[in-house]
Amino acid sequence: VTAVVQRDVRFNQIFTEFFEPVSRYCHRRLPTSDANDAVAEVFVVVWRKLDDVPSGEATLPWLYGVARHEVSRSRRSMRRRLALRARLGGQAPHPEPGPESTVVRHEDQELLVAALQALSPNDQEVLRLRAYEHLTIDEIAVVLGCSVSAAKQRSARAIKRLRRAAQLPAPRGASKDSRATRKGGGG
Amino acid sequence: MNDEQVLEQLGMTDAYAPATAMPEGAWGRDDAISEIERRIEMQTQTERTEHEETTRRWMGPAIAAAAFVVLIIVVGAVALLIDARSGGVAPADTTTPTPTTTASTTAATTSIPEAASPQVVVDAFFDALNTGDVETIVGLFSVDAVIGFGGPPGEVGVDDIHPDEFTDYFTWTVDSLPTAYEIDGCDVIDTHVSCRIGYTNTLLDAVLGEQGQQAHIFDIEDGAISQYYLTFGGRESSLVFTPFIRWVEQTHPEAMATVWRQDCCYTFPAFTEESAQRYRALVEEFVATR
Repeated sequence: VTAVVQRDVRFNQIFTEFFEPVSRYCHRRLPTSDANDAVAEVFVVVWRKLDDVPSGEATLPWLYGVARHEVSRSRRSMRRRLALRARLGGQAPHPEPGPESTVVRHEDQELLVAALQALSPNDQEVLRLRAYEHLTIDEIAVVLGCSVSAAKQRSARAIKRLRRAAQLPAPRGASKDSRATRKGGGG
Repeated sequence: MNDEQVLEQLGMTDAYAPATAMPEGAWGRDDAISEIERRIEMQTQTERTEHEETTRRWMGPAIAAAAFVVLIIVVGAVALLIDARSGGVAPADTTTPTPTTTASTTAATTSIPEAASPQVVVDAFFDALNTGDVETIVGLFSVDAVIGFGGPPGEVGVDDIHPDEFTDYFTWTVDSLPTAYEIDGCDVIDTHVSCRIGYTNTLLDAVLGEQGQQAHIFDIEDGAISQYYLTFGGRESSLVFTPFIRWVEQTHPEAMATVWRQDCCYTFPAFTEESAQRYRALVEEFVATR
């Protein structure tokens, strides 16, 4: 009985403290109804894996990692729904602009938001984790499930691509890209 | 603007920054906790039902097996008793089945099905790749799987593909250059499977005249691919793909932006239908010049 009570207490603590940031994370990335669903799923996972949830400062990045998977799953299912609708002869609606578009205050920001939305999902995620969730590189590594050096590199690349997409000049002292060639296909 | 200032500017476009209102229709704490409790209850109920069904399914055969073993023991005991009384050879030697054999056969034929083995998953992957069945391919991956090129995902210098892009990536792979894959051999260590793959396509046939070699490496957990990365043979890169890309650059420079992503430091394909079709047409033209 004590174990069950302790489990309830711990779950409630996590829910109370982290519902809001998790909810904001999901709503930044998904339409409202899908975001609600993703938030609920995150806390169902918390309940199931309560013993694995790290404590202290490590809790939130861990929760964002779970939320990231739920957001991915939701987006995939959304794409399947749209594809099905298109196959059935309906018009697949254009994707809605992200919530960022609603708070643009001046032209520079509009440019940045447009540039952000033109980037790959990976790049967008890294940039949002830094700019919106204000995570450190170490925390981003936890969310993405990669090494700190990989997170650092992904972040640097994402900012570089954001700059390029927004046509912002490179910061002073930045070296020119070395372009490498890789295979272009065939399996 | 330095990078920090760029991020600061971007941060100002956060529609749901702390202390700002959430969108209309967003669940508050009470709505959310009710829904979470409902889902947990549903899951618990499902697990309970599954457990009961499993128990019920196993109870019948278990009782039958136990009864059979008891019967064998009784028959054996009676036979021994008769033998002891008559002082002759017990007929049990030839008529009594061996209980252990019966028991082990029962166990073998009713074992609980496990998740597909890593090799089975890998075979299914290449079967689907060879038939161009993208849906099956993507279905073999876990929801949080990672694909990397050139080395394990997450390592420096390696390009990762996010699960969101799997369908686009494999569709591009299948559509851009139909390729036949042949498993030359796989080493399986626990969940880790490393395969040597021979592959052929019109580009390789025309330029190299023989199979190319790739290494496909998988991590498979609970019957699903959790990590997958592939490395290409350096020989094909230098003799086939690099000359092909150079040829496109020289003869169809306008195609570069359609076929390959321009936002990356690598010549990385854009996983779009237009890119795949253009790539295929370019290969046909390139092959015709050989």
